[in-house]
Amino acid sequence: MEQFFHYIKSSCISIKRAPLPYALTIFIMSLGVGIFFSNATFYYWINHDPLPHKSDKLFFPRIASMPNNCGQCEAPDMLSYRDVKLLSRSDIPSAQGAMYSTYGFARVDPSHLPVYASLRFTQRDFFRMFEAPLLHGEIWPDNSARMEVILSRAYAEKLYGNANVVGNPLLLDDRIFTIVAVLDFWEMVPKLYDIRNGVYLEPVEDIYLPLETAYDLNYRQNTSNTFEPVNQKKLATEGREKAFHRLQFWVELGSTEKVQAYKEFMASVVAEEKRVGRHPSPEANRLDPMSHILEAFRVDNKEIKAYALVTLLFLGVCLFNASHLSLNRYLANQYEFSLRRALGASAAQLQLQIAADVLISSALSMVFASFIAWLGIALINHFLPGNQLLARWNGTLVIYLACLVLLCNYLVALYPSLRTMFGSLSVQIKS
Amino acid sequence: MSIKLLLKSVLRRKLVTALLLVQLAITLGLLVNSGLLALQAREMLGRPTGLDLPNTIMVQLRPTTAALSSPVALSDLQARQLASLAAMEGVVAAAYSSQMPLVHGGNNGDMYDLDMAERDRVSLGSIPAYSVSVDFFKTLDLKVVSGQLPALLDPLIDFDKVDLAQLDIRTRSLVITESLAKRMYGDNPAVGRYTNNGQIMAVVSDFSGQRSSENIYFNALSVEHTYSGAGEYVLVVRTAPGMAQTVEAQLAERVRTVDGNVDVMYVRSLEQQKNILYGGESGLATLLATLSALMVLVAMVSAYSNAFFHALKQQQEIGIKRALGASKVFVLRELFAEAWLVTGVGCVLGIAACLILNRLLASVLVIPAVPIWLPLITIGLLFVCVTLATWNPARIAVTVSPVVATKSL
Repeated sequence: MEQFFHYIKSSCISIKRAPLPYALTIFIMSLGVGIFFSNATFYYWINHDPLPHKSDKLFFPRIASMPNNCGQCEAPDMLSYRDVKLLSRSDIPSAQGAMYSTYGFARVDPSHLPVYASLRFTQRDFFRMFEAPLLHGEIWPDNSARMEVILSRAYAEKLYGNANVVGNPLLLDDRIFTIVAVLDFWEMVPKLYDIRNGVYLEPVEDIYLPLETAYDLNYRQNTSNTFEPVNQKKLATEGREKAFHRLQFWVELGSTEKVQAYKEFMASVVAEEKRVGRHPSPEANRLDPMSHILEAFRVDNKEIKAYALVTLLFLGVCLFNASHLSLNRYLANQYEFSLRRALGASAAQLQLQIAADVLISSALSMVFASFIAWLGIALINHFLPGNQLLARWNGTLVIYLACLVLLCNYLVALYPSLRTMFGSLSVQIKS
Repeated sequence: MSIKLLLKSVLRRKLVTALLLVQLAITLGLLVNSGLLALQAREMLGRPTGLDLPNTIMVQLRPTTAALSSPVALSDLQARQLASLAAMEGVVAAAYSSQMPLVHGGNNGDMYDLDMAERDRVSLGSIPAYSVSVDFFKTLDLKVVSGQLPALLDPLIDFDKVDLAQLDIRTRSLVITESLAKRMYGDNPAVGRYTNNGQIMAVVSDFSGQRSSENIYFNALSVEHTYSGAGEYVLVVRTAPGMAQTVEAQLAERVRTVDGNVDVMYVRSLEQQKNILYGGESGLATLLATLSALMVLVAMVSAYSNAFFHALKQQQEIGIKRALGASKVFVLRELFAEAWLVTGVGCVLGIAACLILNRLLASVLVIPAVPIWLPLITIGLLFVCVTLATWNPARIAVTVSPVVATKSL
């Protein structure tokens, strides 16, 4: 330990001898790592798997059920109510749920001002499939229409001041509902169960209602694809019957055999539809796992991606620069290493000295890089708003940052240290 | 000054020089491509919109009660809101619309001429469809190119009773923009033609609608009640010059005073809306510009340290040269020449880096090809930066007296 402190002390003396080159090296390195890491934070979250243990078991099935033959086109991104009914006939999935989202205004009673709420209309398996934790109450016993809602904990506390509000009435868009459950705090980043139009970068919803109730009450949606005229006032009937696509649908398939069986089931559904003259387009069935849903729907955050490429190159530039500075610094200090070698210090002892250097540099770089990364995140949030949910660090990211800093410092010190250790001693002593 | 000697001097520090060259090449590549994206964003922001951007303000609203989902109730509310806004000091005109202009995407639908044979039809997949009030054209200051604007709203349809399939669409009126008329009918008159969205009553000047459309100037407007149920709608006001800020500050409160059961989502001018629409491109361009500035700084640090350590190492050599009669200017020129030589070679490599990075970025986003003048200007900028950064170390090196520099010989 004493020897270690000696190495640290020697490093500090070396830094004090030439503070400007050292400060420049640390500054350049921190700048590169910080800028890279600020964007890497967004990139990490965009590509984050919110359910790593089951994202390959959750699938989004699609069939090209449009009423007109559209040639070789793909199946629509959203399903119609009929599609869901057809696909829900299978008992292969261990869980399945259709859903869509919109917004509404809720209040405790008419004397209060209405409060904005994001709504998700869904079915009972949704909560199990996406592991939404239950705090109070019970999820609906089945998928039938009922005037019952499930609240998020944050929204319950916002509206009622506490989370234990099961049994209370809720006035949502002037209709009375009963609260049957409250979910505990949960989040899904990114929200992969709904990836249209940037919704996947938004927080989970405030209120959950049964899907059938939404149709009965003529609740509209944020996005839809209409393949035949639909009277928006008659969604309870026309919305259910016509080619009015607005639903996401997920199924849980626990094994490859089940996946294969479900594919066969989908093919049989399409064949049956074709037989009765309802599926004029060629079969274009898709069954995409959640782990690849962004690619399947061609959802891309191109600005973040482009900026990631540029910041990676910037990190490269900074590393080259820091290496160059570091090399100059080591060359300037070469006589000191040479003297040690001449006095009998082994290569391992010199390596330890350099490791102490790397450790000090890493500690300093970590502090500055974190600060610069924080500034960089603020800058990205300002200029590319819409990604705020992704601007956060968790333990894994901090560990990544520490490893990156350590690796960069080691790489920067590697060549100079090798050159110092293995160069010709006589030449070095002479200089 | 011999090029050969310069090269020899530079090659004496092979690794340092190689690091510097790679760094300069990447820097040039990034600077040029950042500049390209910035220019592209600027070009997008500079495109004509056909709108009076600073003097037009919009308020995005959504009713908070289900009672307002009935078209009759909503129409009544909108009429009261518009009357209130029109009475404000500084407001020239006010109107409602089911959606706003200058957006990425929104409500749109298919559009084709009903009387054309199916094989001759130009079917346009997604044309932004607006339900607007009569004064919408006056509010946006749109010019009538041909035809006559409808003087009244189309009759209110009770969709609880009317079957959409039975509705005679030819009885509905439609106004389209000039570009859309040209796309559908070429040089033939569009006014009077029947489309799947109604009869074209007028063609108005172009304005920017939705970016996701085939052409941002394609817009189709129905002068009718909004059938958005409890959905969102927009109130648009045009103000007298110089009154925009005053009106903007009062708008939200004014709307709430008419009826409290309405959520004011935001109030913003069309100028702000345009900046939001192109926010992705301009945001990325600004971020890249910031990064470029940092990169120039890094390049300068690099040039400074290179010159500094090199001069330090060459102190004895410089001392001998000075003792043998070389002037300060000669030595200074030699040090600069070395820096310029490395920068020049780095820039040559940088042009290749520019093209490679341009290709890589083009695989992610839309970016134009590199024009010849941009790398030339950037190379000039790099030379200036390197010269500035080399100045101080070079000056210090030549001010050391030959006696001091050669003392250890």
